Amino acid sequence: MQKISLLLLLLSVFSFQLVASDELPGFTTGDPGIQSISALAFGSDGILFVGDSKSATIVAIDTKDTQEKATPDKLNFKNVDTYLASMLGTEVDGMTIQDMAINPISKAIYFAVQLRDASPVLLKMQEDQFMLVDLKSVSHSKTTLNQAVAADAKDRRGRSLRRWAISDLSYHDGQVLVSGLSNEEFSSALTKLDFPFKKDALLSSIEIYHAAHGRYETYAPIKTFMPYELSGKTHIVASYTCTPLVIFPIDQMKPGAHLKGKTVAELGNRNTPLDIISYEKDGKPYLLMANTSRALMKIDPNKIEQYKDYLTEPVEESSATAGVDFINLPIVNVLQMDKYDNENIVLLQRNAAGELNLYATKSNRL
Amino acid sequence: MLDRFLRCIITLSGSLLLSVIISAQSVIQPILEFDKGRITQLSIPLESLSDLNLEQVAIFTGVMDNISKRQPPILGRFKVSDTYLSFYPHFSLEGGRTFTLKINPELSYSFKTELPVESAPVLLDIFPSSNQLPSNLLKFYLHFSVPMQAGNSYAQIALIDQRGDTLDAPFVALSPELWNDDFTRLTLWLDPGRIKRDLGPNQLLGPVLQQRQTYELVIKPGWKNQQGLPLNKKYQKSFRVIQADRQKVNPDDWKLNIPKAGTSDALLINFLQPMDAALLQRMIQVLNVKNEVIPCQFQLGANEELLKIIPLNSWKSGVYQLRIDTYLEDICGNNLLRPFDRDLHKATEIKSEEDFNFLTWEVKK
Repeated sequence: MQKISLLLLLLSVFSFQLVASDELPGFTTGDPGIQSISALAFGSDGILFVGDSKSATIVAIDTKDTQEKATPDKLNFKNVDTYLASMLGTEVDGMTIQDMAINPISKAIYFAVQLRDASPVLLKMQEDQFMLVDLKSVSHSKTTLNQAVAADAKDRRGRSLRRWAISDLSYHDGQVLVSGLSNEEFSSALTKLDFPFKKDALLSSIEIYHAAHGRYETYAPIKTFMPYELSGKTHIVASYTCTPLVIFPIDQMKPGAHLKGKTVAELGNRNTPLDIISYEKDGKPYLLMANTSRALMKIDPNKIEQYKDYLTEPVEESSATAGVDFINLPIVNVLQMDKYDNENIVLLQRNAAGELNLYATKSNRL
Repeated sequence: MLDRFLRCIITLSGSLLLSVIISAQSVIQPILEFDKGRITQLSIPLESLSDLNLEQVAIFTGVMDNISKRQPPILGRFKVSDTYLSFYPHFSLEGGRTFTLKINPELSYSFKTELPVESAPVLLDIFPSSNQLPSNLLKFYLHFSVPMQAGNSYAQIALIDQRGDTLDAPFVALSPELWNDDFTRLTLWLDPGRIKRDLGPNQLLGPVLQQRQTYELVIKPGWKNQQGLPLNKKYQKSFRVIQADRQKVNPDDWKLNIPKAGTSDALLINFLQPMDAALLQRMIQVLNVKNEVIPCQFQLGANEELLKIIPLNSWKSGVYQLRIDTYLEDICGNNLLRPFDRDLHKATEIKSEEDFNFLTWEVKK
């Protein structure tokens, strides 16, 4: 027998530690105390934003993953869930892939996974290798959403603070946008945070309404959204939990505002939007939306710009939709997607055999 | 040879479980250390590992025969002492699973870990508790005895109509799911696209719940808690559907049963309609004449139509106020400011967006 006394061995070293070398202003290396990962989004310079619903915190992680890669890896990784479950010591039913985000610089793919005991896991994938990002030791900066809500005048006057489940996260032009759903009231908030995070950041948390066919107005919880330039002005293009595609200008987001979004399309029923991204095909921009029970939908933003009317006519045919046209692509069961580069989109898709596969597809084929 | 392993499990008291693994050649005894019902350490006596190669030792999920070349080992670290080889998984492992310890390219041991000694999770409550619910019901709350696994909940819940058919996607499958902080309460939304009048899904399919029909909400027994233990049984809630409620909540309609001074009797509020069980716990406060919040206990009464407010100290003679958050909802999502969906052609303008409404009442001797 091999006899080794009191020798500490570190094996199975897939662990990938982000080491502080040159800290960004306002960043510190250590444990940001992430309790859950509901959403991921990349900002500039390799900054990864993590939406932590449980601690109502947005953490900016400096991944230092900034080595530029012009051509992304060829990607075709089969049975991602089985692989990750094995690596994390569980089975496929013992974990959930919460979100996926691609670093636009290095083209590395980051996955947020939640284990059965609610432990959050952040993994980085590059060249077909998964590496664990050690969340206990990262260069980070963070801000709490409770402060954001409390800073909103409405919540300062004694109203009990609400808990928001972060449904989506996006970075745009020095600001982090966060959508949250209440786990009690039927409401949502869209919060805008300045980045780098400031101690007394000017924050806004707004509530959003929409009117079905211009008649019945309700609160409108946002499931997924993206900032997008329409008619020369940045808009939020949002998809609600009840599916319609809604837009409003980002400059209308002011503290305490009650915004009414303009419904530009109804995209069918029995469906929950999962993800929305933009891409180009033959030099022309498109929006692409993934859904729980419908195909990938391709939408021409020019048609959104040209759409002048609120939806005023009731929808008549079964599963019909109204408003701006969209094209159903023959790709179903996409759970996550993100832009790889200008020519490729990465999809995490469950195929007919039930396998969860990660692959890149050419944008010009969509 | 490896197939011929015989396993028996000996349970020790406390948090330690001893798994005994017997092969035709040798016996190894991994000692499992549990924390919160999950395995945080696994130690094997070195004397039972005859050809340990520290460069190649690894632990995998599953039995040896099913481990492919592509399967990665479990993330974690090994530590060797005088007597034990210990494995510390990066993420705690579950009891009741099979693992394989590979000590060199030729020799592996498969073993099954015991489940932690814990009782199965129980579904304590389903709100609303009434068995008559409006056709525009917006939410259910499920309350569990212990933290549950999140992420695959919608597959564990079914809504069945009176013909025995399972409804297609009655709930919005949200990610992340709407849990409370400790994962003991899940909020379910019936598809708001079908409740909101004039939206496409509502036009096409009508509301999920049809008036005068009966339904059964079924919670499947396969739903596991955070230690991997499934619910103790299948749960069902039957209910009959009544007329939709599209009125905003009006505190002026509430009936108050006012206690006497010098007592700690409950102030009883009868809302005359079922209210949202979660919001009732935090959206009503009692203020004294100085506008200070009085510490009270809140107890839900029959069908969440009643709320008992019990003061920690006895009532004093004088004027009190109920401060009611205007976001307080009934079970259909109507609040004090507006009904769930507001007909803009008929509705009067919402004059203000005040945070609170107040009801004044007097405690007498």
